[in-house]
Amino acid sequence: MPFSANCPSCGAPVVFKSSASFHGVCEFCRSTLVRHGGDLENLGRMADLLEDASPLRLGSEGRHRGVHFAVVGRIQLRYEAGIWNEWYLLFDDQRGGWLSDAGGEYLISFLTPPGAPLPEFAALMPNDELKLAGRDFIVTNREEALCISGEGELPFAFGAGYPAQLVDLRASDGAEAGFASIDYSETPPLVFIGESLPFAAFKFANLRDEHGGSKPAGVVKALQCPVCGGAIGLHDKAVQSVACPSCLTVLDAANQSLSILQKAVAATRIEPVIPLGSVGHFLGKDWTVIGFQQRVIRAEGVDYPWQEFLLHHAQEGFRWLVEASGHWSWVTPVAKPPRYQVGFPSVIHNVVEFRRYSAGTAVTRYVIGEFTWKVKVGETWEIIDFVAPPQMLSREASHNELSWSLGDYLPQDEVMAAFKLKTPLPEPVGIAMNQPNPRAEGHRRVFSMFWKFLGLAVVAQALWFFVLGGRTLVDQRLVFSPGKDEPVTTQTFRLDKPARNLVLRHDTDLDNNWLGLGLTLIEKTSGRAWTAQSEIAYWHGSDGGESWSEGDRARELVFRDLPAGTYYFVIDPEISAEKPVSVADRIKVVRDQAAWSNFFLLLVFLAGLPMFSRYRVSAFETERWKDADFLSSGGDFGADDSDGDSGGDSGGDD
Amino acid sequence: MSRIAMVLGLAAFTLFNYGQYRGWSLFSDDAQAQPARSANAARTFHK
Repeated sequence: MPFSANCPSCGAPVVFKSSASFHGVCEFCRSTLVRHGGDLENLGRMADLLEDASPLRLGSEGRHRGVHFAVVGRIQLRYEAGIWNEWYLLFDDQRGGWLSDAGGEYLISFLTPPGAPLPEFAALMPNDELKLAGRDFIVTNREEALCISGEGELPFAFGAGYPAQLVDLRASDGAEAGFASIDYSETPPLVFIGESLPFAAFKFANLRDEHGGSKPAGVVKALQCPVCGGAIGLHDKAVQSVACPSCLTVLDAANQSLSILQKAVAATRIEPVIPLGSVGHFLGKDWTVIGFQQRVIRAEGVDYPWQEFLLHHAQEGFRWLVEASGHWSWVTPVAKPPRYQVGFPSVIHNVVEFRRYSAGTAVTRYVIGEFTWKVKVGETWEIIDFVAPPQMLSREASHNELSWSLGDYLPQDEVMAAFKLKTPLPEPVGIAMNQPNPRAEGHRRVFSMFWKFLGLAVVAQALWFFVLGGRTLVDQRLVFSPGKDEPVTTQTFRLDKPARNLVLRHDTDLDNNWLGLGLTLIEKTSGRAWTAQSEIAYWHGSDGGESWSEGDRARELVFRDLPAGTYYFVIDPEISAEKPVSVADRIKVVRDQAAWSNFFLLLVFLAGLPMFSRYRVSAFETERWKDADFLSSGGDFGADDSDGDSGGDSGGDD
Repeated sequence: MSRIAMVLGLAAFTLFNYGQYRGWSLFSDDAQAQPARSANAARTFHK
């Protein structure tokens, strides 16, 4: 039941929609009010809220898992990198929940018993694993924030502000992008568990930009640089810092004070290939380039720079477009971080195995435009890149934060088309770590073709062997004896129709001997004759304990293009004078014989095609991986730290 | 690559069928590679 009373300070009506809310802020005079039964106590004036980026406001409505909620309160917190809001939600079933909209990401969570004692705040570090309410989580962020202001109804007493030690965690189990937060400002600490969902999933209504009273999110706000007077545009109030494109001074944009965070340090100016303010059409939405930074990793004295463009969409939040050596990637934050211990050569994300490619300390070398954190030239992050083309997974870690992002390779022409660029982008150089292997698709086709040809070859061979040929016309045993010089005549056989080929096969019992044969094929009616010579030899023995053999006891001779008729062979044998023994010879005459050797030769040739294609795929991969660090090529990952890769985890995860 | 493989595959398949038609074999000798027709064979063997 809603509770209504008048503000003891200004008399304005104050309504508590939730019976669980006993703290509120008068929206007219900003007095901090506490419910005592039917009375309201005034604790003093609440500090003003800093204007923020959120499209939400008190009175906004939405749905979560089918249950309607209303936004009834919020607290605003300041941390090292800026400010964020925690919106207090009241559901129709009287549950309370919290919705955080930091950096364009929407995280909903509910107060949940942790299920086990919690570690101390100081004991938790990024990448630590923790079980909360039976689920597995990974620490992604630990902050010492200050709650600076609030408004509306809240489920706890709220003074002029209080410090809050907060730990954010992401679920490493389950299908959804689970989220948890531990608030150490109370004893025992409070645990909130929920999930990260896209803006559209909440089906919000009554947002700020639906009413004229508030400035819509995502609309440019024009300011002037306090150093050079240059124009500065702010596209989103989530922007925490802005580097003046004119003088390169980094300014604090959190509350539009534009105080100087860092004086210009870049010696040379870099002109982004996609200018700030450009609008690109990706995934059906228009994204505006609002920030640009160049970062570099130095390895063995060589700098490996890349450029990052921060893109903004009012509802979708922020994405990165990353360019390295002319290769482009679309980079999205990963809401559900994978489990990974520094030093391992691969990581699983969404059932895909990503192989570690490289690691190093990335230094920000140049910044212009807007950023959602307090950016500065010279800031460092420990980065480990993993690849599963066309995707790459990047792990960035600092002493108190761990984040993962997923990059999808973007062909250069898609980037040009998205921004409708008139001037061509720099040509890609070399092979990007997540560049799709252009030969892989061809290899798949060749492989598929191989199986089709193989099937065809089997069918054809079966036809040749069983249907079209291989009819035996003569199968006769002959004995050639020494001393008998008379030629031997075989049985006659008839060719009803012309024969493409006629095979005469000898199968002898030669043993360390040879047999010379003078062969004459005679057509009985016409007397036409075809002659040939054949010698069969077979030798075997053993030499130094190793057996050997040479030659063959059998031999085939092929006569081609014979007309129809009645035939017989006349065989004139010549037996070795050195070993004059009888030789038995089983002769077979076969017409239109199909050879198995042709079939196997065909198979070998066909198999060569996918093998060659596979070699080309491998050659591309070899080229891709030649710049990877030693660990990625299967080295000893126990010695990982020798390349300076600590993964940025200040202990705890090795 | 796939087009080249298709052309080579078809060529090999065609050659295979021609070889089978002609009776080519790795393990056979061509009788006609031997001295062809005996000059007086007909006279010798005609009955």
